[in-house]
Amino acid sequence: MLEVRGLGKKLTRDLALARRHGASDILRDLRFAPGVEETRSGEFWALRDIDLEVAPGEAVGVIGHNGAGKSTLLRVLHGLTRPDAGSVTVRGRHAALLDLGAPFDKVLSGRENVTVAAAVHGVPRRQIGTLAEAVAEFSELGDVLDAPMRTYSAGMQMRLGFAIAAQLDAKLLLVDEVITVGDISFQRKCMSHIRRHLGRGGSLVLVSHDLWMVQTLCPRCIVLSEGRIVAEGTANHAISSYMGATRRGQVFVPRARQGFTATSAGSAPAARAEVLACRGPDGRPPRNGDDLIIEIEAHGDGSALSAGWYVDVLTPDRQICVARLQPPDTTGHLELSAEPTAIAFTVPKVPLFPGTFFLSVHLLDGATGEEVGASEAPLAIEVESRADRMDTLAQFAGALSSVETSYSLGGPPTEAAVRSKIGETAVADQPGRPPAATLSDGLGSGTGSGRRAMADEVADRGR
Amino acid sequence: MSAEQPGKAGASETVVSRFGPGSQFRHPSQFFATAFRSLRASLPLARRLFVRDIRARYRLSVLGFAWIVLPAIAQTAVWLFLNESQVINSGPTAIPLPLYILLGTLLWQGFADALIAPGTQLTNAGQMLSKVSFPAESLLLAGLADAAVNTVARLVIAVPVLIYYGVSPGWGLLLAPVGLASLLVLGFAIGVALAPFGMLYHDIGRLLTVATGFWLLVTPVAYTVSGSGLGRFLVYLNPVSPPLLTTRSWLSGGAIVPGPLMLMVMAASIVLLAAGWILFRLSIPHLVDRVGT
Repeated sequence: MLEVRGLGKKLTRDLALARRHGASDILRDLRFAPGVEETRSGEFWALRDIDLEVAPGEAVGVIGHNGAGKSTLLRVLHGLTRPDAGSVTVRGRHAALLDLGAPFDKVLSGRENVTVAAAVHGVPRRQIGTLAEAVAEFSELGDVLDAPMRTYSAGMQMRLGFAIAAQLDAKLLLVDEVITVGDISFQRKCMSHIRRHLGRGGSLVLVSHDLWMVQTLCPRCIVLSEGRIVAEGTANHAISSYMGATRRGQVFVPRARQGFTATSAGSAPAARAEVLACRGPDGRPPRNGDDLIIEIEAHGDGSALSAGWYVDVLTPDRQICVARLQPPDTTGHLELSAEPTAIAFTVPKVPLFPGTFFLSVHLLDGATGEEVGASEAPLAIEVESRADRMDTLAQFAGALSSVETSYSLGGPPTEAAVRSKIGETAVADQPGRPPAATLSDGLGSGTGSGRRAMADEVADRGR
Repeated sequence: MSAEQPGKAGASETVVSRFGPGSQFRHPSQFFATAFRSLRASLPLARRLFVRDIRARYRLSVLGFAWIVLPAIAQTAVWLFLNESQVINSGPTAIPLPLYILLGTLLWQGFADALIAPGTQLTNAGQMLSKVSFPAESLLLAGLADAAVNTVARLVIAVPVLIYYGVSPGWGLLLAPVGLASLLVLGFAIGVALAPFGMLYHDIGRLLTVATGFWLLVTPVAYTVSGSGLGRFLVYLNPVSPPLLTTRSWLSGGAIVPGPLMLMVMAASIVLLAAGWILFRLSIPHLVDRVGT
C-alpha cells in the first residue's frame, strides 16, 4: 500500500532563504538538473533515511517530540511536497486529515463547504449530494451545519473535517494530530470508524501526541527524532523508548537542599558516605517488582561514631524524594571508624516504575539524630522497563512508584466495611488474613498485589 | 453510505510514485500524465471554487454587483471630463467618444482582471495548497472564470449606450467573443507565468499593480493612435493594443478582418499560456514547501 525508501526532505526555516531556495529550485527543475545532496545555507534535513512499509489493513503510529518531522512526513506521503531523497510509492487512493481549517471558506456554511471539499477531493458531481448527507449524519452537527464556519469551534471543524474524510473512498488514511481536538464521544466514533476502515483492508498512518490513542489503534509504531527513525516496533516498545528518551532529556542540575546542615559541628562533615552500586537480582538492571540490592560505603573521621543511615531515592531534577529507604531500626547501628565500612541491603519488590532515579545516602548521629554526612555525588540508577502494558501506562502517566495492595472479591460492601473504609474500624474478615478493604460475600478473598500476585491469581483460577 | 460506492473518481489501483531528488522533467511521461490528469480534474472543481468565491464575496458585501461596473463607469467619466475641458485630446474616433472610451475601459478592465487573477487566487489559497492535495489549476481557472464573468457583465452595461448612440456591432458581434477571449487569455497567460515567482516574492505582485496603471496609459483605451514618435511606438509594442482595438472595432461595427498583429498576439498568448501552465505545475511542490504554513 505504502512504500517509503530512504526518504529525505530538506526544509528552510529562514523566510528569506526559503524563498530564495524555492526560486532556485524552480529554476533547477527547468534546467533538468539533478537533486542537491548537500544542504544550502539555512537548510536542514527535516527527514532523513526514512524507510517505511504499510501493508493493507495495517495501522502505523508515528510519535516523536515537537519538530521531529512527523507532519513533514505526512505531507510528503500525501503528495503535497516532493522528497529530496529516496522515493515514496502509494498504491490506491489516499486521503489526509492534516489540518482542521484547510479547504474551508469561513464565510460559507458547513454544508456549502462540504460540497466544495468533496469537489476538492475529486468526488464526481452526482455523488456529492449523497456524500453531503452522509457527512451531515456522521458529524452529528445538525443545524450548526448551516451556520458560517467562522463560528465553529476547533472541535466542530474537526468533526466536519473527519466526517468528510471518512466518507471518501480512500485506501490510505493519513491523520495528523487533529483527532485529539474532538470530544470524547466523537473521538470514540473516529476510532471505531478507523477500526472498520482497517478491517476493510484500508491502512492508516497516525501522527499523534495522544499515546493512548496510538497504542489503541496502531499495533506498530515508529518514533521520529530530528527527522530520523530512532525506534520502531510494537506500540509499547516505541512508546517506552520515547518516554525513556524524554525523561533522560531532563537536565540534571545539582541543587543545594534548603536548610540542610551537613554536619553537626558546622564545619567538616563527621562522616562520609556514598552509594556504590545498585542492581537488580542477578546483576541485571532493576525492574519494577524486582529485589533491589544497594551497596553503600561509609566511614567516619576517626572518632567513634554510632550512625544511623537511610537512602533517598530522588527524581532526576533532585526536587522530589520519591522514597526513603531505611532499615527497620534507624537508631545508631553503624559503628563508623576511619576505615570504610561497606553495607549491602536489599529492598524487596522495589516499587519504582521505569525511569532514572538518583540514590543518595545520609548518615545520622545515633545519639542526637542529626544528620552528619551525605552523598556528595548521588548515584544515578536506571529502572528498566519491561515494555509491557503496565510499565507503559505508568510511564505515560508519569507515575514514579507503585504500592502493593491487598483486596478481596465480593458483593456490595457491608455497613461495617464502609465504616472501616472511612477509618473507624478495621474489619478483619477472617482470622489470620490481612484486613480486607471492603467487599466480601463469602466467595472468598485473596491477597493480591501488583504484578506477581495477579499472575498467581490467574494461575490459581486456571487450575 | 461511504466506501462501498463503486466507480468513484480516482478509484483504487492508481499507483502514485514520487521520486526525488531531481528535476520533475527527468520523468517527463509521469510529469505530463499527471499534469493532464490534474487539468481534467480541475475543471469541475474550478466551477465549484468560482461559485464558492462569488457566494462568499457577495455574502460580505452590500453593493455587490455594482462594484463590477462602478470603477469602469467612473473611469470613463473622468476621461470624458478631461476631454471636455481640453486637458487632453483623444483624437478623432469613428464612433462617439463616450462610447469609444467606455468600450475601451470595459475591455481593458477585463484584461486587467485576468492579469491579476492568478496571483490573487494563489495568495488567498496558500493555506489550502499546503494542507490539501488537489489540482491547483482549478484555482487559476476559477480566477479566470471570475474575470470572464465580470467582463461580460460589464459589457452588458454597454448595451444601452450602444443603443443610445445608434451604433450597431453588425457581423462583428459574432467575432466579439473571440476578441474578448483573446484579451482575457493574454492577461491570464501573463498572470500565470508570473504567479509562481510572484508567490515567493510579493514584490512581483506589487510591481504588477503599479505597472498596470502605467500600462493603461500606453494602451489606446481612451485615445486614438495617431502621429508618430515614441508614444506611438510604445503603443505598437504593447501586446494589449491589437486585441483591444480589434475587439472594440468588432463591437461597434468597425472593420471585421483582424490585422496581422492581432493574430500574432493571439498565437503568442496561447503559447505563453501553455508555457506558464508547465512552469506552474513544476513550481507547486516547491511553493508548498516554502510558502504554505
